[in-house]
Amino acid sequence: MRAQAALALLAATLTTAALAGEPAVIRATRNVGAAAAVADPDHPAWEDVPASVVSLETAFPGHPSIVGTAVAQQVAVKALRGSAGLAIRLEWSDRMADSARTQDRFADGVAIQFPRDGKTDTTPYMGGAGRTVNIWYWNAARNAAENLWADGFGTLARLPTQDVKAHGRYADGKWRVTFFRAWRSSEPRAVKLRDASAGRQPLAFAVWDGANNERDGFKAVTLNWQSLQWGK
Amino acid sequence: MSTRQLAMVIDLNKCIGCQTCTLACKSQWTDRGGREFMYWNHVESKPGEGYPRDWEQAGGGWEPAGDKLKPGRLPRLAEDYGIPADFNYDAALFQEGEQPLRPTEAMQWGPNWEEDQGAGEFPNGYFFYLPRLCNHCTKPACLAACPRQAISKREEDGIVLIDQERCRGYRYCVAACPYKKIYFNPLAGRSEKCIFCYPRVEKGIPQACAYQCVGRARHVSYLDDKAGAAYRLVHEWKVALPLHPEHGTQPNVYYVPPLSTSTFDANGKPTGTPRIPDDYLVSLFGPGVGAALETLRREIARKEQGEASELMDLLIAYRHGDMFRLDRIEGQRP
Repeated sequence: MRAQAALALLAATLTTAALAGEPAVIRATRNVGAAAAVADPDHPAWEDVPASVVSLETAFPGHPSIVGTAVAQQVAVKALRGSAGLAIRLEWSDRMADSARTQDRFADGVAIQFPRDGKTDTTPYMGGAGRTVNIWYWNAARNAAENLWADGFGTLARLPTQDVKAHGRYADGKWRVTFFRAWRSSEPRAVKLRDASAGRQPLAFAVWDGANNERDGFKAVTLNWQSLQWGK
Repeated sequence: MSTRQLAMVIDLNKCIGCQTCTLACKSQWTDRGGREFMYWNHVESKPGEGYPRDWEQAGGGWEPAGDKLKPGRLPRLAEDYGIPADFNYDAALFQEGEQPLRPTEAMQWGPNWEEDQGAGEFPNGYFFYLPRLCNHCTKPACLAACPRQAISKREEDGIVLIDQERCRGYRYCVAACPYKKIYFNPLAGRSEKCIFCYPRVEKGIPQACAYQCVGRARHVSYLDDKAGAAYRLVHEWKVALPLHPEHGTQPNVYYVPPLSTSTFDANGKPTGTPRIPDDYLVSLFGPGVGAALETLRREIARKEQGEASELMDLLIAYRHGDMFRLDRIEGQRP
């Protein structure tokens, strides 16, 4: 009980920090079954992992076509680390699951962005020239991950190595989506997570509400890098 | 802006609405893979809401000053494109009783939905056919609307293409096109449109829609080719006009506006006023309509008198091959 209360307090502190513009610290909980947990966003392994609630704002429009106010206001982030790799679960409220991709409808989505070199002076707005970002993207239409990279507005492209896994489930007015990647990737443009022993990695989040026609740069994002930490 | 511009002229006085162009295009490019609902080329009856439904009211294009895109909306799947109906084949064909073959769900719209409907009251009803395809605009709103630079206009012929590697299906282009001639492929997750048959054009073969037109209604040539039909009909004779030029995209498919027979008065006598109101044609093809129709009437009269008319000979197109001039400048052939 005491541990749970402490976690709740921790989560509350992190929420306040994130709202104040300070980066949220997301601590990855050690769990040997991280690889298995990713396949199921409702796996019991996630229950005891503390959530960091990160506030989101409408992204700066990078192009005149991008107009509107994004719906999602926050995303709860959990992370698990195991010998196999790193798993991150994102949970956010959405009035309805938009998983159909038809001519007049857009699918819900979520993404995690990393500066490839792990440095926080790379812009979190899709990176810049020579300062690439690696993006793990999931949308409800495919219900699978897409491993992407960018070096500025409008440059997003698929990486040749697709070694990120993702799976989402919608229930009770919420999406829960898990991402998983092994610590090491053969993809040179992928984020370098190194290993399970110790590390920290800046990361940023984005959420798209398909019912609000959100796609591309029309999204709710963290305006600053947050911090994912794992260690002993 | 490209160095050269390939243009098409469609003579609406010769279009019989047979949809051979539509099928020529469909069987070549869009008969599978999430494109089943797409019509890169189609023929609609005017006046009418067209395809996708109400495309003329769906926004897009440029503000009058030409520096800002006008907002546009995405056509809706069921209401504007229409979902093809499933039929009760099992009940009608294989079960006992007399069940008529019927759609299982009522269709709301589709291509050619209002064929030959037109406007006006008997005996003065009227309609004409309007074939439509991507206009390969000189100032494409779709290109400007894409945040990913996935759309480009080819230097050598002005053909506007969507790079399928760069497109991520955001559909800003679909909303920005005032002609709603870009379609989202839900299977591929990308937007697609008429490619002006560039693989054919590169071999000197006309577009499928133009080449197969049984009415010899479509001419194709480069706009700077003074011997070509496009230059002669657009710039010299000024009888070929762009569709909805007010959107500011400078479309490169031009139309020879339709002449129509006289209306009848209450006593059944011809009034001399054409059935298709000039105002309606001006709303489609801009202020050049009056002069274009006048030129056409004058040249028809000359031909009727047995005099020579270069314009009529050009529009009649005695030799099919004369309608197309696709030869490229030396060194530009890929």
